[in-house]
Amino acid sequence: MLMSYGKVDESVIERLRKIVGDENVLVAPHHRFLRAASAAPFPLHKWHVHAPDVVVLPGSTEEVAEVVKLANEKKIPIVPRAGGTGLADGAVPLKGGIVVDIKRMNRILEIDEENMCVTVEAGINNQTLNMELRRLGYWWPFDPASFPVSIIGGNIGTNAWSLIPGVSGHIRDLVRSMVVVLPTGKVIRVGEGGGKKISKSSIGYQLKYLFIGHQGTLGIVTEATLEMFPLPEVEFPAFFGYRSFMDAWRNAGKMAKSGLRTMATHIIFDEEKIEALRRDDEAYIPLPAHIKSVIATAFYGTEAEVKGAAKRIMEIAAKDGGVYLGPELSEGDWASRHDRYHISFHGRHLDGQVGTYSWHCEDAAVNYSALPYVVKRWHELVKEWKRKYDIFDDMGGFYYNNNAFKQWGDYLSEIDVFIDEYHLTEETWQAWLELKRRIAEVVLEVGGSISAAHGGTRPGDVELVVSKELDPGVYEIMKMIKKMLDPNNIMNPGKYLLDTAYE
Amino acid sequence: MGEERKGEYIDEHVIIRYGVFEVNPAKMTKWVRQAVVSEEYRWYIIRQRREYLRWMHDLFARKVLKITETE
Amino acid sequence: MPTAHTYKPWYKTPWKDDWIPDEVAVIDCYTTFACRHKFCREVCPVYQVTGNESYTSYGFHTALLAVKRGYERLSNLGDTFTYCLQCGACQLRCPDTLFAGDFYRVPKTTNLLVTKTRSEIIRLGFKFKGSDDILKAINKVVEDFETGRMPLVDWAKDLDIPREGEVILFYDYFMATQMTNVLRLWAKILKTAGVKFGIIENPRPTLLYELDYLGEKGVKLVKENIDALQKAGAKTVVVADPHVYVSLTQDYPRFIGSDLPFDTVFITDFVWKLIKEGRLTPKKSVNKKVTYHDPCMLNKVSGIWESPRNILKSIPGLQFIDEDHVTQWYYCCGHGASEVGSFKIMHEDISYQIGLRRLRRVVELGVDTLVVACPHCNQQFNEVKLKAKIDIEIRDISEILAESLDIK
Repeated sequence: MLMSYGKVDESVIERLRKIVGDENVLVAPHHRFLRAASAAPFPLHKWHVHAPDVVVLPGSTEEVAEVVKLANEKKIPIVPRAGGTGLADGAVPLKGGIVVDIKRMNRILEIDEENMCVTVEAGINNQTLNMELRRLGYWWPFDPASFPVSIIGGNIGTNAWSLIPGVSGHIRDLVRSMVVVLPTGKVIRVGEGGGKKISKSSIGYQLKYLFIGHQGTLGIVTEATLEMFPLPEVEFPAFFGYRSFMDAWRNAGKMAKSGLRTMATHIIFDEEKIEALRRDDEAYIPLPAHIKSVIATAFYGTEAEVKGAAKRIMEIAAKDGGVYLGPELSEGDWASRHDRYHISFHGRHLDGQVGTYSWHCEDAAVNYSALPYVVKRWHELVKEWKRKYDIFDDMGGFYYNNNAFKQWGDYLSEIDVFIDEYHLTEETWQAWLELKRRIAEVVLEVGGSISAAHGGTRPGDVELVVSKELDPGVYEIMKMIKKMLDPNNIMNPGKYLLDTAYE
Repeated sequence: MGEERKGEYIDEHVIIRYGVFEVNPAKMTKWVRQAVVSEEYRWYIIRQRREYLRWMHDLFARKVLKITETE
Repeated sequence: MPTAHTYKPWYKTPWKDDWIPDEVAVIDCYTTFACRHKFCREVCPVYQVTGNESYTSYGFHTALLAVKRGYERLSNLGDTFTYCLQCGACQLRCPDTLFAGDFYRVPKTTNLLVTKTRSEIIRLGFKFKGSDDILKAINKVVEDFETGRMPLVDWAKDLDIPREGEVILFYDYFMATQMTNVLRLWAKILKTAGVKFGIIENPRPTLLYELDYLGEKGVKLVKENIDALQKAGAKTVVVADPHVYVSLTQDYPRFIGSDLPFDTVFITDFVWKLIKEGRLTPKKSVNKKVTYHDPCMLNKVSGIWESPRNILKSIPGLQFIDEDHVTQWYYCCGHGASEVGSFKIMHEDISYQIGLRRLRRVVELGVDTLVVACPHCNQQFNEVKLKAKIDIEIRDISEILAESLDIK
């Protein structure tokens, strides 16, 4: 069924101006084109396809609700945008419409030191929140790779992932309750039962989790009450070098079962990753040649607990020949974890020339036992594509602890495929989508999930998500929920191919 | 304008100059061109980065445990 | 002598309304868009107040990429490009600079991108919000200078300072006319330390990041200042105004295409060295509870944050509540890099909000005095505190040091 949407004409713009204020309605092309892409590879050669018709910057839940009501009335698509740093194109408009950019709503509303929670407007950034809490000795312990740049509303909308789940879980473990504007414009507070600051209740359906990870298809979060932790006494990062990926993988299995509760994470760097880091990372360039793989660990907690854990991890690493790489590399690399990857110059063409590559990673959730196979197949694929089309680069992979409050189970498995968007054509863009499909298929072969953290709403992923990964019964329920909550299909339409719900 | 760019070759990808690693400039001639960056500016960047890394540790914990303290 | 500067050749190539011909400039814009992680966002004072990411380094570079790709025109961008103070936080924070600028040598240079875009828009005959008033203000400064009646050395009338020396204390019209007390205190402090120094008779306006509006005349002002300093025998030029310091160390090399023929030192670096060498000894107790505001031109743009703190820590009796200079990448007084106050001309309200945020943090620290090291921060905070009715003293660092040295 072809959804026929209304146009964003002068009368709509006028009404939007009345809702949010003149200066908060942006119509000029550069304002709109700026909000067309997420941080995932973008078909720059057809930029205009994804530019919205207008951008609004609301300042309150009420304004958001009014905008959504107007969109329902006029049947105009709405695309919520927080940071736009997501990697699943949640914030990318597929059918034009109104981008609702929530970043003006960025205040801290309340810090509750007795009940250890903080209430914020959804447009606040993780690092900015922490800079405030740090002064009081508290910690918002959610640490995605996008920590300095991603926004709470987007973290919630994408069911985002933390680098340190061993000590504090992921976003879904850290939200007590939130205010959501539904696709009809109705406003609800959803949490644990009816409690604003309750962390676990048995009342009602667990609907909070429905609104974590919907990629903006079921509403817009405007406020959230979040967990607050005491600031850790100490941090201890320790990186170890191994002679092969398989040695590192074996050792990771031991680290995972170590039972060390202050362990925030362990991350395997595969051989291609170390090769790539030897090209431009001052910490890795001088590494001895026999170090082919690395495991990064990090600990947070009281000094007494972490001291004991640090000793133990050194012992465990040695069991598979793991060599401690020293405090300078460990500390420096750990503190750089949010930043090093977004440099625009890491990628190389076949002739070694630095290219205009955009960093990108494909992420999947893969069980420990399946990792070696997935790693091997992925690199085969990317190298084949790099040989065929000189617009990709294989920058290696990271395999991160994916498990909340523990280290065993599965890994966020990430292969860093760099892509030269500046020189994309429709042919090479389609080749990219094909590569994505093949990467995803490998994951499905081993019973994993196509995305551990980013989401499955991009072309190349989404077709497999709905046809192969999700249980058909599950996808049926998704469609029913979507149609029920969003009768006019205006809330981020097209994502998860949920248009099919309206046929 | 600019200073002398004498560097010691490490491998095809990397050189070292005044004790600091750099991309082999020969690999930045086709798609992306380098800017002129004075030696002082380069050290300004390195100093600021070290400061930023120190600050990032401090945001997450009261102190970084030193390896010597674990023995 | 080499100063901390960076230079991209496309600063000189002319643009068109619907086309940016220089591919190197466009690649610069694309590589910013390619990141899409916007480290430049949270650190930007204008973004902190407006919540609009169109007003960030990412926003500006992407807007120009849109021109190149045929979706926009330069003439349409003028108003968006008014939303930048040129404080330097974004270009420093960008990982292309902070993590890779020393490796790949393509640092982010947003301050100059903004200068280039604004001056190209004017050159092509278009306007933006406030552009008329800015050009008027700049031309007035230059005209006043050219009348020869600007009181550029009146402040030093009774101080018996020669017009030559290997050390020259350099400033321009701004401090000479609007912050004479600070100039006098620094001059007296240098004399107390036994430093032989001179000043020049006719320092030209330095107009950081805005000389480009003046075309050939801008180049002339640069060359004349350098000539005058050389003629006076300068081997070391000491500067007390952070904006003038950035002009000399970063703007001037890009205008003349080479390094300057003398060393440029900021006053706190120079004076801290004197204290370390024992040529100055702060003895008198100054019983204030203070915090220090890092001027953007000094901290973010020039990487100078230690000497002011060292000076404050050497003052007996002073209670100094410090805030990390990296945290201060996120702060700004709200005045902006322009000497004539262009950002305030364009956005008085946002300038005030930015300054207000900063003062509120000072109040949270429970201090009675905010120490500044920049004449523009000084004026700005005084204006904001009056408007917001915040009871806090604003003192230049020279005043605190002079008090401890018993200099009036």
